[in-house]
Amino acid sequence: MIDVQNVSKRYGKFLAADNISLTVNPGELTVLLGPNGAGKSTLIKSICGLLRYQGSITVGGFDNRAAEAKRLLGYVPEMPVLYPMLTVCEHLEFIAKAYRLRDWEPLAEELLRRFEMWDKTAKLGKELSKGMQQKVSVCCALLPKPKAVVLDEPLVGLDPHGIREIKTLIADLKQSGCALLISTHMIESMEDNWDATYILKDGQAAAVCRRGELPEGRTLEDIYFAITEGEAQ
Amino acid sequence: MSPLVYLVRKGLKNTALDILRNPGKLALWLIMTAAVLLIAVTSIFTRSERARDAIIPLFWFTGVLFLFITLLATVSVLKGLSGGNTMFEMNDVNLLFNSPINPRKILLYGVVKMAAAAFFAGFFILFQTTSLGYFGLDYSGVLLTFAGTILSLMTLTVASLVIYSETHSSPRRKLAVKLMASALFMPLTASAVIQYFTTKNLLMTMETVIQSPFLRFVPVAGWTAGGVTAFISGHIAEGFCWFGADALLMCGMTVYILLSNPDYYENVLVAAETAYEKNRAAAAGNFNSVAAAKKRVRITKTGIPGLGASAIFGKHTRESFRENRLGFLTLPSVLTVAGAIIFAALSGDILTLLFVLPWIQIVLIGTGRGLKDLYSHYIYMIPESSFKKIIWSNMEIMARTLIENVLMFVIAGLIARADILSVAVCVVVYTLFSYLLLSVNYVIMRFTGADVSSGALLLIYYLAVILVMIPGIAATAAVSLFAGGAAGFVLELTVLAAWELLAGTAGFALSKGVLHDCDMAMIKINK
Repeated sequence: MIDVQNVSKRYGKFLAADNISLTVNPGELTVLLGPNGAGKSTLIKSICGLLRYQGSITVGGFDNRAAEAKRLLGYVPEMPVLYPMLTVCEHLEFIAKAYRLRDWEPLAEELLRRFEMWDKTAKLGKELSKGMQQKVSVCCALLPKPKAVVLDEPLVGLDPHGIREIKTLIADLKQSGCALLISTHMIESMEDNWDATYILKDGQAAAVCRRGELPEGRTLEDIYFAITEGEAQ
Repeated sequence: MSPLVYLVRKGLKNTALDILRNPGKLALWLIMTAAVLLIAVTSIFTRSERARDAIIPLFWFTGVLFLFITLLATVSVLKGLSGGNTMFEMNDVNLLFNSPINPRKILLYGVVKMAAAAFFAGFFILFQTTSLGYFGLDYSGVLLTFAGTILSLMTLTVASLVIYSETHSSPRRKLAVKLMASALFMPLTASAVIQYFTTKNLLMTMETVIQSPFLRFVPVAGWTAGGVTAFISGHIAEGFCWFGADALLMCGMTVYILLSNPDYYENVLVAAETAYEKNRAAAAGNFNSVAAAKKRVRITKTGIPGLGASAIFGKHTRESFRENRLGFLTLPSVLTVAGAIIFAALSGDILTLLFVLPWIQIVLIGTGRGLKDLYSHYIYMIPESSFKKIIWSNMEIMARTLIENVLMFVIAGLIARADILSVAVCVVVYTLFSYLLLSVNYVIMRFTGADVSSGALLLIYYLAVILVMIPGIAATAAVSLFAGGAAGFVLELTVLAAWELLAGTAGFALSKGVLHDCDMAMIKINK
């Protein structure tokens, strides 16, 4: 569903992503791990068409800059960005209208109820805490029923209920055949559901781990630290 | 060496090295310095012509400066009543406040930093030589205005801190400050009311009030306006008295903080944290959130009209009407319209307005919601064509500009007794200038990929606007050689409007697909 081939991204002289390739299939959860500055957010923004890059990125077989690809893709940024003068409900209505969705109201209600935001539909974006903004941001990303969802540090700033709901939602999306790409620092948070993990370091994919293919007696955490801190592998 | 002196010294050295190592920043500094020097030199050599071109009496300048400083003072008092002013940054809070350095020394360090910030904040005045020239000010007058503004900004920052520290936990004290601040303007207001009912003439009333001592006795705003005017008029001793009053107030308030409240950390913490959060949110594309956080909003109508890309305009309409009672018109719009009408009343024609307003519009175009939307991901991810998204996302600023222009030129035209055709063509020229400015923004985004620092981007933008306008202005000048009178005036402006339309459309055509092939715009605070 998401196919990234030889993607590089430069900021001036700095090479933030260096020839990265990855694939996320339907019903698969791929995790991006890496220290700060490893290139996770750069790669995610490139996939979402928010950055120019060299290489090729397709979503559902369409170039990621095409409208067809945008229709298939949902994105939850690390820092939730809401419009201060729109209510929670209007954020979802805006997405529904901009994406030309039909009969979107039941799903909007379901998502808002799930994240305990149903009683806050009349609140303005600026009146919400960071955690609440993150929840609305997730609802906006999922309203168009995307076939692929990209989440950048989705658990940061959420309360325990929010964290649990995001985890359950991720499991449900995976179950329904959605391709998921998640960037996180919290290795243990995705332990139950991950299928593939790309460990990024200095803009490169330093290792690719697949569930069931880990060396005997080694955890994802062991491999992560071995790569990022240069311990014996 | 004192750690604070070390900090200032190292800060200055590293800033200088950063500029030298960054070609973009270096070019920006060199061009800025060259521009200031050029303006200064030109101003010296054209002094006699400028004196001849002075079409507005100097006392109106006193009034304008008074209003400007009053605006700054209002903002400072409101900041003081809510969260204090930003004298310190979060790095000071985290590193200095925890250190065993005397808090009083840290406060003085804050005052020094604030002076530097005020210097840069008032820098734009140095570029107002042309506008101030209408009042007969030469470059020394511009420098005096600059000095007065810096002094006022510094005094107001300390005042804001004092207000916060004295009122932050007491609603009664907050009310008292509001009453006191209003009371300072009472004599001036009373004299204006009496004068108006005596003369029944608004312009005469304004003239008398501006020249009255009541205005000069208003702390900070009156003192500064009076001081600058006195210096310009050659009354040096009087000028020093007014500037001295400002300086004395600032020093007195600083000493008051030092002696009465050495534990002021808590008072500056809120402002530092707010500013820090604002910068962080801005860098993430959420730059409206903190600015609008305090304002209470009454929600009446809800819903987003439109479908597909037009939903962006629906969203902007909802946001605008919810944020402002006047809908598309904002406070800067109202101030610009009011200023333009006053200017037209004083100068007696609308053509001068057309020379002054574009400089304001170059800055105000950035306040459109369409350009602000470029800082968040939604507009890039909506599955519609880039062109449609650009068009619909800029409808709001175009609607706002059109309303502003109609208000400005129709009222100004009535006052200046201009003919309908001239007014109409002025509205068209100025509206199409906004269209051109928008297209220049997108062309720059297309060719830079939006991957340049904010400073460099601004510089490229200014230069691009000037370059694009040159052929249009040249064509207008050529037409003026063989066409005279009112018909000639209309013809000249029609040529200019045609050029703006042509260049703007070419710009939009050149920026085709820009939203799907650029880096999402970011506020690059540290770049």
